[in-house]
Amino acid sequence: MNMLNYIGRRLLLMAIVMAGVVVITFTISHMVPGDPLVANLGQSAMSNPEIVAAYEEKWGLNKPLPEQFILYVRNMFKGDLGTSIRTKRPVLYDLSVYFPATVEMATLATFISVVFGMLFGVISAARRNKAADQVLRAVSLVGISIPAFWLALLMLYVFYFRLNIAPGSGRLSLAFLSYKSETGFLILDAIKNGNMALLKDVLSHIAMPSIVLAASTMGLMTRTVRSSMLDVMGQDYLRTARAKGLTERQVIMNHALKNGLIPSVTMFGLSYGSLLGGTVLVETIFDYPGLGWYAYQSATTLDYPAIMGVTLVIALINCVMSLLIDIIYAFIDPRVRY
Amino acid sequence: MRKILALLLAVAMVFVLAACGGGTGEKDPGEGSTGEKQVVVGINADYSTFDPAHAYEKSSRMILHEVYETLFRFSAEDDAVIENDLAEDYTISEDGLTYVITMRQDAKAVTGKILDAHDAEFCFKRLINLKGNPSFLADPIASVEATGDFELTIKLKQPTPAILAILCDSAFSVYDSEAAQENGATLDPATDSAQSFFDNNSIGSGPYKLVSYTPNVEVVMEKNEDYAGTSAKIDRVVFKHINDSSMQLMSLQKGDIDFAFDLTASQLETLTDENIIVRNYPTQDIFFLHMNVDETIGGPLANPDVRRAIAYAIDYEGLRELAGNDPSTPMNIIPSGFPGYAGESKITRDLEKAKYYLEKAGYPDGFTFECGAIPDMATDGIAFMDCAVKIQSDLKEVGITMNIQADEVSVYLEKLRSAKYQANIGMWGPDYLDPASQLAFMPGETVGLRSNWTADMAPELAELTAKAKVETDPEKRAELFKEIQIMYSEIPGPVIVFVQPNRALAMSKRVKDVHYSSAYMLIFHLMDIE
Repeated sequence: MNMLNYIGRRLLLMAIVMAGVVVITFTISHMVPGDPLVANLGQSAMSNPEIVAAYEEKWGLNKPLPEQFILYVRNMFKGDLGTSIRTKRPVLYDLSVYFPATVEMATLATFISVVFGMLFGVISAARRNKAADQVLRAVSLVGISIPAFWLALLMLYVFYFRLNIAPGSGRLSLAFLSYKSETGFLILDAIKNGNMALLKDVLSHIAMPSIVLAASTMGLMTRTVRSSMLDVMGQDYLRTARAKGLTERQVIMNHALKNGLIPSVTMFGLSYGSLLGGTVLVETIFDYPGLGWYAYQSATTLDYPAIMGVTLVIALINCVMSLLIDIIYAFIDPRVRY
Repeated sequence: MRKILALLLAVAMVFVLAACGGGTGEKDPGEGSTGEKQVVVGINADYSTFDPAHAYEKSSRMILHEVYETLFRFSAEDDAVIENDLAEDYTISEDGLTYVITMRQDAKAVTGKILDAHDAEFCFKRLINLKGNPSFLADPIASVEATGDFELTIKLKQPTPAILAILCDSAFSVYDSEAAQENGATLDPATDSAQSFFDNNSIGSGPYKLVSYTPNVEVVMEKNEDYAGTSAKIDRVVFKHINDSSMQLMSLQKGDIDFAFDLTASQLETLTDENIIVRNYPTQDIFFLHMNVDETIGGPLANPDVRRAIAYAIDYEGLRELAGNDPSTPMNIIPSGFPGYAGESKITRDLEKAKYYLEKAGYPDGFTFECGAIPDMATDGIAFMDCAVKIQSDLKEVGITMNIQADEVSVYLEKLRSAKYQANIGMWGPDYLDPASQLAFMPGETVGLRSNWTADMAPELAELTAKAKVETDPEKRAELFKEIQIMYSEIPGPVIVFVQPNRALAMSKRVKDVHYSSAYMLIFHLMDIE
């Protein structure tokens, strides 16, 4: 019962956060100096009052701000996030096109960062202050500090331009021209239909952006796992394990790992949320048609409905992720329920 | 735990192997899946729709021009020549107000319908009524009516000699009106819902047809086998969206694309690949310093002698060098390539004269002003901010301090429209290829008013402008435009034009017969590949 109460309380808090996000995003995006009309109409069209009036009428820009807000919220509850001023398509449709691409990339990036981050962290802790540790610490530091856009360009130059082992930009190569995805998730499409050629093409395109996106989280993960493993490895029960005559390998794999990896659970959840929302630069450089790219384009053209849609989605993901983490923690540690 | 880790690692390895193996899987861009000829264009495109009644971006015209025919078109060989497209013949009434156009009877849309005057009437009325981005082009038109199956009568509000050039615009594309109506096209903006249909399909009679459009990814058009004119040699054209210019450059060098649309001047300069050629094409774009002539906003810039001083202080040669691609500097608002062009600017940098005019204006020690410019934005390979910085250092030498105000594009346009800038670095590309489009710079007109330059501030020039708008005799018209430019320089007007750039385009050497037009950019149906 306590647990249900806790989840209920958290859901209520989440609803309040989302309401705050809607109000703040709406206010800020409409307060930005600039006018969506001038960003979307040509100069000559702007000087024609009839065109301006028709445009304002069409996009509801002639209504007072509070009225626009009420209309937006009312439509939102009906499942209508409005129509994008720039693409002229429903925002919900646009999100359904761009969001799966980003989910695919962020999932892969999280996967890479978790697998390699944990592996590097464990090795680093086990070989503390030895050569392997120094190298891995240097790698994680580079991963954290290197700017994503620079790493992206560098990787393109080396692996695409020089070595020719990776394709350039985009999500698919020209061999799959005009491919219409069934699920929005190309990897799922390929697995579902057993299309190995498509799978290979998708993976080859998604690899570099995912690695770039993963670099910084992987570095953080390595450091977190390393320090928590070192903490654990200094504890008495491990000394006992060693005293029993177990090899160092057995000590780490059977005893230290379980406890040493707990902090990475939190990191995993939070990093997934932030990766989903932090793909703007990577998607722009790799011309990867995802949510980050859509957000960037919408912001530069003051496409209010699209800006609102993207913000809502990202806020919702972060809320859900932190809710999930809290629930998992509540299970692990009952003290947080109170 | 050990098993989980092993599994995760195994999946990671499979992923890495699959990813690395796929690098060279792309085909030669020249060859489609069934061995047809294919051209791939790398472009950071601004198009967002292919509905002729809504599209107004230059890049969308490049595609619309290939998939739809218009009544008239600019010749692919020479932008200054207008030739018949769907029109076969036309007559103009004596008062210059009525155009009766006879249409060809062999223009078959991809839907199978022969396009006639009723289609043209519907398309033009839809353009006018929907009040979309390009609808202002139809402002001179009073009425349009099919007066026969293949005869269209257009009545104008006042004589508009530029009307043929205006009708060349892709906004006046003619399509199968029945198919359009079946897919939601109406003449009422409240009920018209055909835009998404037009974004993914074309129903015109051009040399190509639109096959697919995936926003921010690609546009594909394929040859229209029913095209009445000479059939296109390239079977398929793919516009691949590549945002970053370095990525475009790499893709071109690797042979993945045939054209790189958005390379910067410095990238073009350092390009030394034997398979790539860079060609320069003239544009009618002009870059200028725009000064507010309202004393309360412009301050010293409202004084004509101050504007003269600035004109003499600017290093035009340096700015042309900065722009690269062998650009020129026209006298003022009419760029070369237009009838009535008055030749290159005769003003060269002369610091003594600049100081003389400053003293005459009462600012012997110079003054300070603010100048707006858009950061991180370049057109025709010229970055606005680079121009601003160069002019800033030029003016410093005569004691004028120009503070650059970097404003994002939407903020910049907002301030410009409301005439709030003291000065700004501006760029203008004509709405249609006729000098009349440049009359927007005149007092009381669109651009003139952006610097609060009203008709009563230069009544003689405003009068000349009114005459030039309606003069139908080509020679008299050209003379009027020349007079306008001379008078503009004498006043001088609020705009100092410093560069008319060329458009440099990097392309693969295997592409042949490349035609480039200021109006439509690349003309694909005349192109071939080796």
